[in-house]
Amino acid sequence: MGEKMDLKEWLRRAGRLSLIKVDVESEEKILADFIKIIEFFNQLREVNVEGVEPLFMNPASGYVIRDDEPRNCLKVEEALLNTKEKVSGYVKGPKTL
Amino acid sequence: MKLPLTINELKELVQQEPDFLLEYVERTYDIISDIEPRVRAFITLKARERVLKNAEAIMNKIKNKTAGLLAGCLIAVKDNIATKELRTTCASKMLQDFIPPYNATVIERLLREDAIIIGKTNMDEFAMGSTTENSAFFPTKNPWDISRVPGGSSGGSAAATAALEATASIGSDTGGSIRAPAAYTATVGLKPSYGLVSRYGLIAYANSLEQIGPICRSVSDIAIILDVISGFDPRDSTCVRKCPQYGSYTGCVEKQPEGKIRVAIIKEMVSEGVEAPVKTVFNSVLSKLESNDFYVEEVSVPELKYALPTYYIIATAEASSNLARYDGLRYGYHVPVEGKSWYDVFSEVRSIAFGEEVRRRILVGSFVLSAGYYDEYYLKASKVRRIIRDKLLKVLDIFDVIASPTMPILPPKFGERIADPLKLYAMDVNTVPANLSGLPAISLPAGFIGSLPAGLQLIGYMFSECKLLAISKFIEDLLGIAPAIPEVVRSYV
Repeated sequence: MGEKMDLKEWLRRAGRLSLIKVDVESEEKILADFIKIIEFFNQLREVNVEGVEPLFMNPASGYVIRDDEPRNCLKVEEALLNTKEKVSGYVKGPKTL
Repeated sequence: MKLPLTINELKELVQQEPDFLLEYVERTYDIISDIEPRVRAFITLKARERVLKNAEAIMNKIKNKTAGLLAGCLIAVKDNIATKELRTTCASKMLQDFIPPYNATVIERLLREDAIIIGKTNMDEFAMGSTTENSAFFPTKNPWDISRVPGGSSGGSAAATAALEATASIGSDTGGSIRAPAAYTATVGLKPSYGLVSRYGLIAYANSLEQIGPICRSVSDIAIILDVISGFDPRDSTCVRKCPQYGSYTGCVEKQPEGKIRVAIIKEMVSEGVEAPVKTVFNSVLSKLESNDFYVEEVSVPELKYALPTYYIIATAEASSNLARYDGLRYGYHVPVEGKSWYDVFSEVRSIAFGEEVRRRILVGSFVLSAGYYDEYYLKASKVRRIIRDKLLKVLDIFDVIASPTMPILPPKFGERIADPLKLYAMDVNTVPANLSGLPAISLPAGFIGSLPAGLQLIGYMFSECKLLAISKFIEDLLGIAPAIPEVVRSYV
């Protein structure tokens, strides 16, 4: 874990990566909690995991992937039911240029 | 007629007299009118007239002998499970007006058996919390003491069940979110084995850890609902294709468990951090078990010390990925896009519409997954997860169940835990091991300290729900607590 200043910089980067704005007023509090949480995570440094394979999921009998066949799906108007800005059956997004 | 307290009682009464179903709905809504302003279990409640209409159709099916297993049961559903044309908010500003265009598989299955979805219950935002204080709308109160939290994150479901506002309810459990509120409201809550119940339509928080499960007033009710909601679903690739016990859980609780029941007590789950009154209740349950021919032995799993940080690394990592979908364009909280960049729109939406705890978990999750930290945190936690799972399976090779207090502390007062994230996370110390390992775990009412309930957790081997429920029913009968009715609604019984 780096110094507090590094973390501050990292927090800003994490905010950008996560698309979450970290405002100046709450930065100190977020940082203090963040440091506590990372220190709590650092307990895992005590565990010897040499030769242990990671466990990402708990498959009982492997995953069951469905056949790649077309099925009934939502109609356009159903899929756009919750879309606030739409144009001719498409979702309107911000301009990229 | 007596107000039915369990699904079986309701079934019996409506079989004898189908018209009673309408009276049951009316009486339940009378209770809701009285109690809901104080408890606040529901985010969305269906109108009485709509539910009565629904009940009338089911009443006719009962008369025609074509009704399903849950005919007329009023089921409250946690608000992170998709219900077609019924608002599903995840207790977040992000989804405050979201209307799903489809039903989750569990909802389809409940409706197929003629259950009535009465409403959507309050929760911690995106299921992140253990007290239901993190709801973006309002906190839910514990019906046993309204100055205290009902546990979380399925606090609304458990409170509605305890306060007779529903026949039973459905919750989800990522790190204890069914068992914690069950323990704090003297209800029974089951987190099924990972893969037993379809997660299709469950709004994802940490998908490798969470399962949908029932919260009821008795173990028999849990078995009935599990029979309905479990089973293979091609829309969830993590759902197991075959489980020999699918559809037979009701039968499991009707038989006494065979032979001497072997119960392991893991030292690390009953020592540090467990409050004295909780320990007292737990020890008194153990004495009862021993005097009823259970074999109880203490074992040690020192690695459990790492379960909590392991869980929070994995859960936050998965959360940061799962919640990346919320951009405010296709659905959810929206800001006008004209004249703004992608970055501005997405970050404005996410900063305004996610609550503090959700933002914190996304940020922490991004950290543990980021280059330079991935190996040290996420990968390492995934390895420790395997160690913990293997150790628990070893214990369960020898013992039928692992018993512990569900929660290490009594239901806290509002504000007592939420200010400090580590204090909040510490509440999950005994519940997260089952999620990390994919094991089934149940919380039963174990006793009371004054008016405050304490829960007994039993963890079983993968897909051993039949045995787990049989043992739970046996213990439930021994303790004689369930169905436990809080003082605030006792006059209705």
